[in-house]
Amino acid sequence: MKKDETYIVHGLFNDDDVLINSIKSAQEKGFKVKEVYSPFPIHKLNDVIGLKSTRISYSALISGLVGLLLSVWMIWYMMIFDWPQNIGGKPIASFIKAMPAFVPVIFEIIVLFAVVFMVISYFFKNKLFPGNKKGNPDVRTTDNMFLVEFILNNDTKQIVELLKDTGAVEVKVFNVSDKKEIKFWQKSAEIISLLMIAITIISCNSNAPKRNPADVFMPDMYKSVAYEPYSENSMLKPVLGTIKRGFMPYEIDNTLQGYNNALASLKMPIKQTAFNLKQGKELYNIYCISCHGKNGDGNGKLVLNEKILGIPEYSKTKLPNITEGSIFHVITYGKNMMGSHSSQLTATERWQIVQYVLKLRE
Amino acid sequence: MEVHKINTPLILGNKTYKDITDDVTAPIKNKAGKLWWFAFLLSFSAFLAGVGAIVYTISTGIGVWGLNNTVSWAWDITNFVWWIGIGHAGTLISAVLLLFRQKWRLSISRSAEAMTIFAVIQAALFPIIHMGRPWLMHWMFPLPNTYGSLWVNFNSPLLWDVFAISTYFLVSLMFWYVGLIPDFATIRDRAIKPFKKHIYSILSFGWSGKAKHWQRHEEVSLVLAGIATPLVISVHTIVSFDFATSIIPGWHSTIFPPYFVAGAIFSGFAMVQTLIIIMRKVANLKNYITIYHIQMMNKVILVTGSIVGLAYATEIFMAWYSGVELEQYTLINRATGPYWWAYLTMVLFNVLSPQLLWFKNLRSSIVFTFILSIVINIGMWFERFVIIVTSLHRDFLPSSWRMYSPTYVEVLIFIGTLGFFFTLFLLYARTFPIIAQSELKTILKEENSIAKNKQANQSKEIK
Ligand code: HEC
Repeated sequence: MKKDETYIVHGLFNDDDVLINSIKSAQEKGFKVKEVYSPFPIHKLNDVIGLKSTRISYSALISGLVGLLLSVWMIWYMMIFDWPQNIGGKPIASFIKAMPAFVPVIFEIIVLFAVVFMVISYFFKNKLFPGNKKGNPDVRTTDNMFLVEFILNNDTKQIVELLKDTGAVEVKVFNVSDKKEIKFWQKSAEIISLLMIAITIISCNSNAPKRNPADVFMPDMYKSVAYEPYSENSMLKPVLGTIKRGFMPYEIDNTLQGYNNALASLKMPIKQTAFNLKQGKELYNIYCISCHGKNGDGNGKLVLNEKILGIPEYSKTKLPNITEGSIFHVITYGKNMMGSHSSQLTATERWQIVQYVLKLRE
Repeated sequence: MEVHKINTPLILGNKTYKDITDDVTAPIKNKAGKLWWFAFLLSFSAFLAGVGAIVYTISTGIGVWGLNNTVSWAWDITNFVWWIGIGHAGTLISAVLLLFRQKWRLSISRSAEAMTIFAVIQAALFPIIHMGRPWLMHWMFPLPNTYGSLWVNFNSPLLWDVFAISTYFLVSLMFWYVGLIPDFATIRDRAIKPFKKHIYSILSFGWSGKAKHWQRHEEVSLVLAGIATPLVISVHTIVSFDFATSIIPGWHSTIFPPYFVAGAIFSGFAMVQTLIIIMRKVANLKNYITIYHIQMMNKVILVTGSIVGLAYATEIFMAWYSGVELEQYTLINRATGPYWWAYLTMVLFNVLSPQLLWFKNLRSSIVFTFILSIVINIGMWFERFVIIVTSLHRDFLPSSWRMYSPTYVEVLIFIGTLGFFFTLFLLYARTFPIIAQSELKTILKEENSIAKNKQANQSKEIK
């Protein structure tokens, strides 16, 4: 045998305990185990062959943290920054105040990130991917056999005998120079072609002109058989003059005439107090801030993001004529682009907001 | 050593490593029997009927269901919650029991996880159908769009559901697959036909079984279990938020999350029982899924069933204690109103029937367990029906009180999901390693010595 040749020695065992004993005695003789293939995890083995503990779980921690940051950022961007929608009167101007409702989604995204990236890095580290050629040298190692592999440069006789003496069922010796090395890229040719197909399919669609008009697959739900809500005949109207409990009717009409009436003669029924002002500020910061801005300068988030435009500044120079009455009227009925807030706010609450708007005008 | 270990081995029949491989791969190697084909055709035709009903619903509109203005949410959400609840047992068995180092999980975890995944698929169908235009399904996700990028509402429990269910599905799938890879490799290495070998070598991702790989495998499984445990609790908590965050009497209650989670585990374990009792017989796994396994699961059913009973009692107590007239009326209406029969079924099947498991000979009777498991799942279906329909059909405004009954379309859709579920499960049972055999091999020696000790003790006693 020549000195510079490399040999692979495989010892096959049919029992895990025998395997470990054999490895131990080989190690005593100074042989280094290259690899062990087994059909199931053997806990005792890791110490024997000196495996360091794995750090794969850190990838879950790190990607979980990334998920946390990303989800917080995404929700902040969508709900607070880009388009603060007022749904059910929940605070929309402050992430911290609105946060409790975001916890479930943040939690799910953390979990998703942690798991997906940990599993991907596990696949990557273990070189697991569809189409990969199998890595065990003997088919029986996934059934009931255990295989220990040594790589030697010199005489293999001693190790072969040792393995046989310590209970190996079978021992094989290979001359490595006989074996052809298969390159990684050749192995994964299948993967690459699959990837390319996927990329082609995805990229095909992106620049294609938009279908015009959009195809309607099943037009059923577009044309309602039932009456549309609030259309004629749609429902029985309540008896004239019916109001809901605790509701204060507002006598002035939603017309230009009504607006002028309110402007001229409607007076605030509640007192100017610090408490009312404080309430008004809080409600304003929930319902009005997204359009009118924190200081009433007409620079709310929706304006900055160009979702809605044409919002006036409250200042006395820009809106010289408005009065407490007209402000109340506008909150109640809305005006042009501004919607009515009468279903979200009671009359008292609207008056409290009026107090705050008046303060902002100063 | 724990006490039970001395008496009850988890693997019977003095198996060897090779026996385990042979027994687990047998259903894949052998041709399917008549019974399998019969079951498969039956469930597949049910599935097709369901597909027909779904297409009819979507092309005609939700009007073909029995919903009305008052009961605007009934059959679909009942089935959604029922299926997703069933799914939870799989994660519980493989994740929570792994954290508690319960070795009896090993023989059933694989099938329980398969059940999870198939059940979640059924559950996910219902909200998608209810959308009316399922091809716009992607609108549920926060994707940039042409409406000035109008985003989804992160305040809404329904959106939480979207994230919870999709995360849960993906995580369960990954957990399942990570465990499957080594077992697929076993099948790959034993396959004789080239086509089969090719398929399984793709599925096994080139698994080799190196020592380092096993070490990572175990670590990943452990971390996955650790993450899946809070996840599974969060998912059903969020499902219960769909109801609890609304102001409908009978829904607006803080007991809902724990009550739903316990109910989910309860019904899920019952479904696992149904499936594995059939499987151990058909696939000849009596030595791996022993009476002891069935007993252990029955104990879990007993505990969770009692929690569910306690939750029902708490609802009654809270209705009285809160002094809220609406809550009280809802409760009385549930028990004695037009849907009294549903309430009665729920109480009989969910609260009283599992109490029979206190008796050891019933707990270890396979026939009894099988019947009970089906009874429980019927009961849990009625629980959801009761919660949803009886709360809605008489709420604040007596002039709009209505009754609800499903149309044949709704019934067919439900039967369709049952068919789909069993179709998937039957296919799984013939093509997948139905027991986590590589994990099971790790406890073989220990269990064999327990079995031996037990035999020795018994023969001593006879002497
Ligand atoms: C959707 C964005 C939006 C929201 C939310 C909104 N507004 Fe407006 N608001 C507008 C627009 C647009 C105008 C300009 C209407 C016009 O004159 O065409 C306006 C005008 C006004 C005016 C001046 C009306 C006048 O007489 O010229 C007042 C006062 C006002 N808003 C108060 C409020 C208050 C108080 C709230 C909170 C309860 C509120 N707005 C919420 C968009 C909004």
